[in-house]
Amino acid sequence: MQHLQYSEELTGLRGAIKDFILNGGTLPDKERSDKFNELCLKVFALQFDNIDSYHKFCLQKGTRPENTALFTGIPAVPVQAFKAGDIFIYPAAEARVTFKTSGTSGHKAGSAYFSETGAALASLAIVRNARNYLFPDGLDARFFLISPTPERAPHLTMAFGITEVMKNTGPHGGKHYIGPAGILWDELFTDLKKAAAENVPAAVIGPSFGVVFMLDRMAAGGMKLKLPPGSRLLDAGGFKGKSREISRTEMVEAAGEMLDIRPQYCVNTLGMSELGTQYYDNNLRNFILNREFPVYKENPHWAKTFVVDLRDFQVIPEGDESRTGALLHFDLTNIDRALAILTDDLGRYRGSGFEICGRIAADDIKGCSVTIEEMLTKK
Amino acid sequence: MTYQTFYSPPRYRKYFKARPAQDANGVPVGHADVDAGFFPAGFDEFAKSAAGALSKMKIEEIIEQLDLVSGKFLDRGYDKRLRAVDAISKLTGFSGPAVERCIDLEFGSSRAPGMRAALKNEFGDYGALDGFVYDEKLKGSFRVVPNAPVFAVCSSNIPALPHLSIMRSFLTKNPLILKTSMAEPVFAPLYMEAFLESGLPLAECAIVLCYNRCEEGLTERLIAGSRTVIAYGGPAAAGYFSKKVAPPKKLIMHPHKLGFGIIGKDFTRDIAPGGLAALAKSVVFDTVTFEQRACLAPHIYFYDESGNVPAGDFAAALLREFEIAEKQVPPAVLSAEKSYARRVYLESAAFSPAVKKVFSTGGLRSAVILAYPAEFFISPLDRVLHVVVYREKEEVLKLIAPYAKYLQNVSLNVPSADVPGWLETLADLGVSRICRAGAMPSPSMMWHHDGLRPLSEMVRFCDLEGAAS
Repeated sequence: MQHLQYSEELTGLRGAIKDFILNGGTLPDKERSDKFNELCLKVFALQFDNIDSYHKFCLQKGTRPENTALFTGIPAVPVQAFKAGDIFIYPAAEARVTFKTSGTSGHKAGSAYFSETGAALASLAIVRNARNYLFPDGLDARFFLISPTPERAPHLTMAFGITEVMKNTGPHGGKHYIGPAGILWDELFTDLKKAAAENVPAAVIGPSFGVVFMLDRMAAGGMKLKLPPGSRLLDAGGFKGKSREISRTEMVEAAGEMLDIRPQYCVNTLGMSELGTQYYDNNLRNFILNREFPVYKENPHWAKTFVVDLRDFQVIPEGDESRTGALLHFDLTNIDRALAILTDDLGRYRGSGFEICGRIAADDIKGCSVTIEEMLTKK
Repeated sequence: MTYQTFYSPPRYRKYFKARPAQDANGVPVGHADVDAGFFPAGFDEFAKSAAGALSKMKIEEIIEQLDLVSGKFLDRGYDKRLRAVDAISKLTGFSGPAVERCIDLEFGSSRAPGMRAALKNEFGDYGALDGFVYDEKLKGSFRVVPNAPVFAVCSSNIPALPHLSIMRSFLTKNPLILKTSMAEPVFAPLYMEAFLESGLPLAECAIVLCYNRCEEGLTERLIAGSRTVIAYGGPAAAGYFSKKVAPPKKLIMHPHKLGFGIIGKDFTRDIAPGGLAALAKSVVFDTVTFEQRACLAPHIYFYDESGNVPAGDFAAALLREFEIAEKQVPPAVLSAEKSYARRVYLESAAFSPAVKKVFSTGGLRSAVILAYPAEFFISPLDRVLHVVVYREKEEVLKLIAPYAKYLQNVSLNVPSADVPGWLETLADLGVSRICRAGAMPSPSMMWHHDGLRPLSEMVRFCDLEGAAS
């Protein structure tokens, strides 16, 4: 198994997925969905053959690659399973990047392993999606990341994702504003003022509650900045009952007041340690492309999200926006782990994508958002 | 017909304002608010009057009244039992047959002989509740004095459980104000109504309230007026009451705890044909009754394969018995969220290197998780039982030791020669009850719940020594 990554078959599959991420979006609908299905089934076969626990899991369900014709038949792995054991096509020691899911008292944290090429696929998907949904206008912005560097927080998926976006987008670069001693407030505000003075649009990115911390601090200090037009805010995750009570609408209003960022330029994203793909709200894309769409999280063409009934685990028919359920993601960038991930996010279909309604109650699963909050509240 | 969530002797009803009935999971419930005038006048009047009434009753009269009502609730045609089964089932999700079983177990152990045995066990000559009685060991007399009044805060995890606090209060001649759980507020009022409709004097001796836990002011006033507080609940409740109930008031806290079972080496070696099925049936009975929502039910059965059938065969036998049990006592209906969490737990278990195999009945209604001794597995409840295979007793001890403060009931099934060693160890760890498989859900009234003498905790003693007598 240790030589799996050098096999021709695997290399070919990775190349095909990469090509699909880069070019699949332009294929005709039928061809694109067929290709997606074909690649999913190949990834399933790879994972069935190389992840012992998943192999056992599928057999218990009576599912094998040879009797699976549609990707929707691929058994989904609950996110909690990442706390139970290793789910990786290689031995865990061969992971290039490991993202941790947060644990709670009495419950251990889980690990989501990425190989070198798996991390590269995730990076490609993240950057691609950021271009489509955070920079649909092709703007060059300077990045202000309320996050530690990936080197300082190697197990934080958000630190990885937003750093990849910064490294691969535009000429202005940017900085991380969480250091060993906590948030570098003075530096952050000085640099924001500098960007305003230089008329360089800012992309302020952080966990949702981190953004709230920043806006609260500005309000408390009577500070208001007039960032250049086109400046934008990306908040990740949500509040998950851990931050001070605030609605997203209030946060967006405060961003307008404190930073002069227009509501259309405030975008929310969903990222999970277990997934290579991050999902963005389409509001900025709608605005730039002058689309009359409702706001929801759109699936990129290399991923597909379904809503699952909480009682019977059956997929709720697409288009039924009246029912909520658990979100189930099929993500081609998850070549290393499990293609199909069943989450603890409560959501529903919206347009051609989905929206998140909250967390499925009475569970201990938390996301990276809380991990950063714990770091922040120590200061 | 509306279910009342409060009960008061008729003469105090002026202190309660009934609200229009509300729907709770299909059950029309009528709440009542406590009128401001209840404190202190109404409360004091009730406490004094009820204490006087109890004082005048002989303990045997009290036992007879309690026994009469227990007998009513054991009658499957009794209207209040029928109403209780219907409402509790709708409110808690327990199936009707499960609620019936709980009522049968609860009241089956609440008959006159059991009450007398419990009183004798704790007080010796329990006539001391009526007046001073001679004690040969003391060479004098002693008297048992109620530490009244009692305020009890009940949970909803076991159907019909609130009657136990009422019964213990009456057996120690304590008037009682009982706060029910918002999740199951109907049983205690129905129980007290049974005394009233039968014209029994004990009907005058308890008030049942139902209010939201955020109404701390009311709870604090009830604590302030009481000398004994009984509380069931989790860490938050335990923390709250330990701060609020200070000596000389007495707190009897029943926090969240757990149970497990042990099937030791050679236990099934000489088992009769059909014995394995009988053992499995007993284990399933332990698991199904109360749907594991009580410390009287097991999260795990530790299983030593040496001299026993392979653990996989035992798990298969359990599964067969679970299937039978599902027909007799259907599993509880869970909320969508709980149902999801339970299912996700079972699906995720397959990925744990500590899990050998997950066995389940159709629709995952019941499950047995066969595992290595890697951790103390906490069940998501509702018929998910872990069977942990061990080779050495030390493996079990290593797993349970970190949970010592949570241990309550143990089903111990080992050959006679091995019993003493286990008993001492388990008692040292903090276990309060050890029994055989199949007996977990039905402790006697003498059980030292949480290691306490439940009746003695509610009274004071006064000794009259030899010379003085």
